[in-house]
Amino acid sequence: MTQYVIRRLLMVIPVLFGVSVIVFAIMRIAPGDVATMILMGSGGEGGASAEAIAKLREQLGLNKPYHVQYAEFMLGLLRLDPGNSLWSGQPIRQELAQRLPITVEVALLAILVSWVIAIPTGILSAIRQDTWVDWIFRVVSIAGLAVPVFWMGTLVIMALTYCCRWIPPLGYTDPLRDPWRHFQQIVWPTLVLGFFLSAVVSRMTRSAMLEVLREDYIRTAWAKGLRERVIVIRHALKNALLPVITLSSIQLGNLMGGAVITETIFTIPGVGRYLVDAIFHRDYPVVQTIVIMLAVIFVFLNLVVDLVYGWLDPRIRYT
Amino acid sequence: MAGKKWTRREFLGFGTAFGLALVGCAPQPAGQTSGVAGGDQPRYGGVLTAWTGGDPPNYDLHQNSTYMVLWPLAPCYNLLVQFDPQDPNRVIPDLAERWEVTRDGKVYTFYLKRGVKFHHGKPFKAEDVKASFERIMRPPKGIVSPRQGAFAAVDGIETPNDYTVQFVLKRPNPSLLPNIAQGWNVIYPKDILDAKGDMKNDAVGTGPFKFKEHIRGVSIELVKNPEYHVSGRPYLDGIKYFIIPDPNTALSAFISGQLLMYRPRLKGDAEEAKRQLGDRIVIQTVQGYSFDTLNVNARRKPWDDPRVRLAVSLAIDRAAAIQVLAQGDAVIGGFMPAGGQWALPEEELKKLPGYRSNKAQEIEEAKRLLAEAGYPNGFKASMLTRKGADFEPISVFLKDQLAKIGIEASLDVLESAAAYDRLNKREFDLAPWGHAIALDDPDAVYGEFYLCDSVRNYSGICDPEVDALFEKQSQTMDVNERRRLVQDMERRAVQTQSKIILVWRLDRTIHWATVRNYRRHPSLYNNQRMEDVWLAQA
Repeated sequence: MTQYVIRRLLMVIPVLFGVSVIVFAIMRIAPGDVATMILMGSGGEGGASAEAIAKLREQLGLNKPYHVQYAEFMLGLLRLDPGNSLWSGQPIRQELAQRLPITVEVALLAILVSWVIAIPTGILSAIRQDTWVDWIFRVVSIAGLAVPVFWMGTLVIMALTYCCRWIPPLGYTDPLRDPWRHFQQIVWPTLVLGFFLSAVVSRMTRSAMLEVLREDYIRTAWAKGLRERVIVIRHALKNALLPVITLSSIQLGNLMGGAVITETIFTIPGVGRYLVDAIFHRDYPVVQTIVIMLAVIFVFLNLVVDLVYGWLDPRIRYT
Repeated sequence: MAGKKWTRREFLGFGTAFGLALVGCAPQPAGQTSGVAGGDQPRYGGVLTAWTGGDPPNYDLHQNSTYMVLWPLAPCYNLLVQFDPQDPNRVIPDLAERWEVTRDGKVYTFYLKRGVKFHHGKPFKAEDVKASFERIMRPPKGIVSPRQGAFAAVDGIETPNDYTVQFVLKRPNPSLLPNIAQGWNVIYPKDILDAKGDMKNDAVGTGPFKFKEHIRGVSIELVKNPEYHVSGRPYLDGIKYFIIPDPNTALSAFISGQLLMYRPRLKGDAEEAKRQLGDRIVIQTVQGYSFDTLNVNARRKPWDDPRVRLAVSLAIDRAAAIQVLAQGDAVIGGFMPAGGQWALPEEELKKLPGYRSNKAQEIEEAKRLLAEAGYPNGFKASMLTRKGADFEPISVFLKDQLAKIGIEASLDVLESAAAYDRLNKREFDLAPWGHAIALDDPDAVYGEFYLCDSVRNYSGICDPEVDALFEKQSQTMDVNERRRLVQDMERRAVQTQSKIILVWRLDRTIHWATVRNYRRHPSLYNNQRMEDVWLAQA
């Protein structure tokens, strides 16, 4: 087991190297640069002479050879200091330290909400297959899959505005400073994301449960006269959770960098917004840092999931 | 399934209670204060909550061009002179109590206010004005100054004493005062400039509000400067700018009362707020300084042929553009801001090719011109289009208009950074765009867009006669004579199709009626200091 974990951790090195090279190259190939964006403004209101752009590029270190830029960035990253944002001049590490906990909180709560909705509905759908209960849950989950999350978020904001003349307090409040305000700010994006994620988790739970419920050991359990709750929860669900956990880990990884639209609609300063703003501003070091960070998160999530498999299914052993 | 089940009644009861709890915590419209009654008497206190669309990249106004920097920081500063909040074309004192101009128009002497202090305690003196403007005019290494060109006529700045500043000019320049009054040209403290080189991380001025906090992606907060040099100002305890990139969320925040002031891009959004809130809000609409235009790249064929450019202009129905692009909230105009003191009269404009009302005749004329130019069956062209709801409609509209004369335009839609890159490198055929200007001033407008070497002369059209007229008007101190020269220049320049102007947009700011004494300036960049604004009790 320890050897397996060490081997997996060592595999992270080439993965991260590859990711760093690819993201560095893609950002340089993309047309446009941060100097133009600063001088012309995000809205394009300003003008910028070629001379001014060149001057700012030099000031920002964008005229250095690519290999020097790459080496400087990677050396900084190894020291856990990826440098400053080209757009804002602020330390990236400090910015991420503020934003990452927010994103992690929203992502974990969204996953939790999705489980709270999806696992019971998935189980009910499976054990009441082809009844009206199953049909209702299936229709709702398919609707959830079909509705884009940005549309749902906008609908929620509009519904709150027009029915209650109220929307969640703008921005983000530290939970230790004002827990109630924090709750109001977090609950809506969490619910929207959770509902969105629950659609696919519910479908997955239902499919996995249906498969497991047809296994011989479940039939044996019924024959032994065990109660339905024991059979479903203890014997069927535990085995049906393997694909659900895999799915949720991927969703969690995606949320770490991908809840941008929800963050934008609900004005939450998370990593997703930081990443997308950085892409639009061509803020190279910020994009590189976040993409590499996401790669690390994905790698570790996969490792954790693999280890959880072993706990859920005793047949799985790592050597 | 065993265990306690929720009854429908219990479930509904919980849901209702939960919902009411959330609604019950709804904040009241921000900025309200208690105590003194409202009415029309200015009252002190309250925090103005206002909108901005994104984080400023840094805090150095001299080095930036986006409103995202100017709006939240302007209240921290003063200018040497400023535009009168009540009269957008009039320049009035600010840190300069008064000024004199020599008879030859070459020396401007400004007499400065005494007893003014920067937020960090240093007294304001002439050296601060000199350091600030020298930085703008002749930026040292590492400093970028986008408005450097506006001060090309200035030879030097002298400070005969601590409270007198002289701008010595190479030639007379009637545009000097309006350029100094631009919201960007704030006065920085010399000691910080000397120590740090820039103001990217500092917001220290003499203004009515002090910088308190910037939470990136969330808000920028300013607090009242109790030592402000204007007696009795500001009225507000502070200003909080919320950073809201999504316009739907911003509108919702306004309707819910969390924002007291918002600048919707779409007329429909302002109308929606009015429908929802009625007389509780105010819509201030002004003839703005922003316009939609088509840049035609004359470096490329066939756009180098004036007949082709004129044909394009003739094909475009400006009246339709006003309806389609601005829902009727715009006017036609030439290069100078429509309705402004330098613009051609509308009656005259309507007689120019492209602006005439008989579009059927103009389209026939356009087809004839294209045939003469060797394109009787039209041709294909690509249209550089910035991604976004503000820009894509312009391209879609123009595609339809150009199809009428056989030009088949394909839309090349790119996100902003890529589109800027192509525009700056002049790698396009046609580039529909939206521009905003800071001043209704011929030097500012022509200097930026329409001279042979203008930074934003994207079409590359160079008419030496326009440049000569520009030079002449730029030195003419008599306003009437200057206006005559500017209009001559305008008549000629508009016909070069250096930019094909579609519409000059009306611009609007909406605010709750509790926000008093705010006057929207036509420019996005002026009158953003909020020192006279106060909040009435709701």
